[in-house]
Amino acid sequence: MTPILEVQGFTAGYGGRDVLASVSIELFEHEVLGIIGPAGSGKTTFLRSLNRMNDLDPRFHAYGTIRYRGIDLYRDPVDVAVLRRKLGMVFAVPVPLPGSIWQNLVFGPELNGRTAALDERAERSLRAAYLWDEVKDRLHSSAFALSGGQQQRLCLARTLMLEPEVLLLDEPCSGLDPISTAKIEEALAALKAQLTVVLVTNNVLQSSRVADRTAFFLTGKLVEVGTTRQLFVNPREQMTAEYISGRFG
Amino acid sequence: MAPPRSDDLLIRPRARLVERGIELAIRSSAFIVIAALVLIFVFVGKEAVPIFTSAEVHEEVTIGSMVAPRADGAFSWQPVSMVPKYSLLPLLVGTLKVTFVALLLGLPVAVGAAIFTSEFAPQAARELVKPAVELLAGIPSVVIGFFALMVLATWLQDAFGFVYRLNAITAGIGLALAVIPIVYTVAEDALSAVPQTFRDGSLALGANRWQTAWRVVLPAAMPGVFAACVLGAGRAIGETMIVLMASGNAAMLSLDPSTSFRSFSATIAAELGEVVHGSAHYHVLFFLGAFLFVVTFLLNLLGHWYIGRLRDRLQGKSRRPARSP
Amino acid sequence: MTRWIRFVAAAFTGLTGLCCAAILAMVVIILGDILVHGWDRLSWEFVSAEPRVGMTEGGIFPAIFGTVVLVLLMTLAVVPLGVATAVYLHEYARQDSRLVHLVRLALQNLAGVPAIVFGLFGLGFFIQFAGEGIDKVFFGGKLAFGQPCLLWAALTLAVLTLPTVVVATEEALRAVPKSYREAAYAMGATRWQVVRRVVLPQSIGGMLTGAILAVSRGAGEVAPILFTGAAYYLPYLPKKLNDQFMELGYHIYVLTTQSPDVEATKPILYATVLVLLMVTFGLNFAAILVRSRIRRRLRQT
Repeated sequence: MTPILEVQGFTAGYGGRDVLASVSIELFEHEVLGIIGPAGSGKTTFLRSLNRMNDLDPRFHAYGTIRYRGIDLYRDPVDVAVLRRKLGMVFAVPVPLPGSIWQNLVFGPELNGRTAALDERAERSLRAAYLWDEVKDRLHSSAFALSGGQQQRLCLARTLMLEPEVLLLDEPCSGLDPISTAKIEEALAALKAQLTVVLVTNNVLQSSRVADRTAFFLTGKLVEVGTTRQLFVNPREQMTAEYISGRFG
Repeated sequence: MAPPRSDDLLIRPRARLVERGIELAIRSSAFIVIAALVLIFVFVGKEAVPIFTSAEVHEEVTIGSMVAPRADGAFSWQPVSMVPKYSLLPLLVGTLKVTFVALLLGLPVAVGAAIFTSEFAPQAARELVKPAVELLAGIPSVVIGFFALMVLATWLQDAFGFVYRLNAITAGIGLALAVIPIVYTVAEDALSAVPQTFRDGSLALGANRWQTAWRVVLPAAMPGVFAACVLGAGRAIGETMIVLMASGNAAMLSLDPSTSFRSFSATIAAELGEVVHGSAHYHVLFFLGAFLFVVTFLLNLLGHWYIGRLRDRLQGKSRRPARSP
Repeated sequence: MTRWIRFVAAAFTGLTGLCCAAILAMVVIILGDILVHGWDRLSWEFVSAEPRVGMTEGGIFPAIFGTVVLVLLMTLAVVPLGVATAVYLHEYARQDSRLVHLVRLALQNLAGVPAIVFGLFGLGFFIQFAGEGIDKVFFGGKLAFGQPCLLWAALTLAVLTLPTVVVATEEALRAVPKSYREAAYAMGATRWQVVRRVVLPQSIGGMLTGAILAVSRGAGEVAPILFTGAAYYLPYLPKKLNDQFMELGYHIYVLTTQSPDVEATKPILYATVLVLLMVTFGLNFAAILVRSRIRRRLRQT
């Protein structure tokens, strides 16, 4: 299997500090890659480097290579807007835009003028996010009226409207109740068939439930990556074992 | 087989042209702000330069003749007469007189009110004074000048028996009304910016509210209060309509505040309408304008620099920290 | 010892409280005096008729008309420019860049330039440089725009009120949460798309506040228009951009200082002042209302 995303020797940080140190990892099509590690290990910085969201911080710097389907994301003349459509991101805190549920969903497509068949695409995205049944009768009501878990699923649906190839999720279930968490995990498992998922989570067990492969980050370094089963049952590194068993975190 | 290269990720040269164009338009609008200030300086200064350079102008007036006394020792501003006289001294004294009166009355009232509303007053007083100050700020200066001329002048003359009905005291009170809002606002901001912990610490040590205000809060906010006074002074020096209407517009040289006078700004306003374009008088008026511009510019810089000092001090960045009890 | 301290404390409190009372009293006295003397003359006829009999009879409609047109033109010029500048400062510029620092400095100083200097600027730059330039290039030397008129007076006022609009707009831009912008960027929006589709719609209230405050200021300033277009009496209403115009503030100034019969014109004068105040305060009040509506709506979400 050839990878769709190759990261080689990627070092990045803000100002004078480096947050990631020479990370090398590959991402394969149609898999769910879980990224675990304690706070401050660079997981979010890594995720945001994949779709160049870190560009928004003027102090950000990066060395090394990230290649998506053959294109060097940091050296080739990449159209960042297109990149962020292909690698869609869901944040830790649900951020519905002011407006109705419908307006949130069509925001992405309207940016690019891809406004064909919006109704069907909206329904498909909402179903994929396990939200359709709950909102199908009130698509034009305010997005802020939804509960936290519903808002997050809306954000997922909103990202799916872009028809991304990769889904980047940054601790999407932090702060959500177990039922919402379960719904999102179900949605991710189903989405695997159509796209690739990278899931950053500080809940180790979530990775064990949902991810095919899991990567363990610690203070900016990639300590270990392997199939989830192998990482949890028989990790190669001592630190991995200690983190997973809750010795620190 | 390697997955196909995602060439559609690469930027197409024509795309984002609109984006670039809009960004250019927005960036240039920011330049216009700087350009405006520069243009003001250039075009007002341009008409003032002949004072220094033109021989034709020098026949009538020079920098020296504006500053030094005439042969008979008198300083007089009489540009429209058989022998034009351009001494700046009456105008300078007039400006300083009215500014002095305005600041003497306006600064204590504004700063005092700011101290009261930020240190002593219950919420109710604050909610009364702040809107009142905003109302005062919203009164156009031509209305204040109108009030000073029609009402204030009569009251004062009845009360104090001034020889000249329109004088520096009348105009000064009107000017104080224009200065109070800006001084109050900046001073009150500075006092409110002092952290509550300063006050709490002082009170916990047994000081009462006056001692706290006088010895702890005011010193801590001093750069901001000073800035407020500087900005108020700048406003007073530059204000035109109030002085134009309430000063009596007589360019008399006298230190007595109860006499009529002329200020720089009022002189420009009163005489520019009748002056011949390109004449020496015309250039002198622009010279006065350039002078006003430079003075208020420097005062503004000074005032805002002090506000920056206050911010640094309260954020713990300066070398001389605010003394907390 | 403590009785002395308590006395001083009370005196200090009393003195500063007196300062507050003084401010309140002044506002009440001025507004009260104008209201009392001007109310009688106020009527529908007053605001709709033309002045007659040497400004002692009739109304001040032309002055109201002139003020409205002047301020409208000024708004057309200052709002787009002010909003664009604020958008640049807050959305496009790197916050530590020298240019941003310079622009902010320029804005602060622009706000402190005396109004009469703006008048000189209007005369020296707009009328004599731009206006005469336009006449030479487009009108073959004939006098068209190289004279005091609506256009130049409006542009002069626009430069004067620019800082007001920029400050109010920037305040509104700052109130839009960073997370909204991030969410939009993550969906592939370009910077202009983020500004146009997310930030600006959320900032309309602040932009409106700035515009209203600028209009209120522009309607009250007289010194900048003394030599750039205001006239005391015109038998016609301004119709073209290069016409002169009557204006409320200017009218008050001339009536107050140069009226041959002060007693006769006093009632009209007071009523005119009252009209100007009503316009200015009405606008300020509208701005406050808009601002509090926005604050309330922000607190709900």
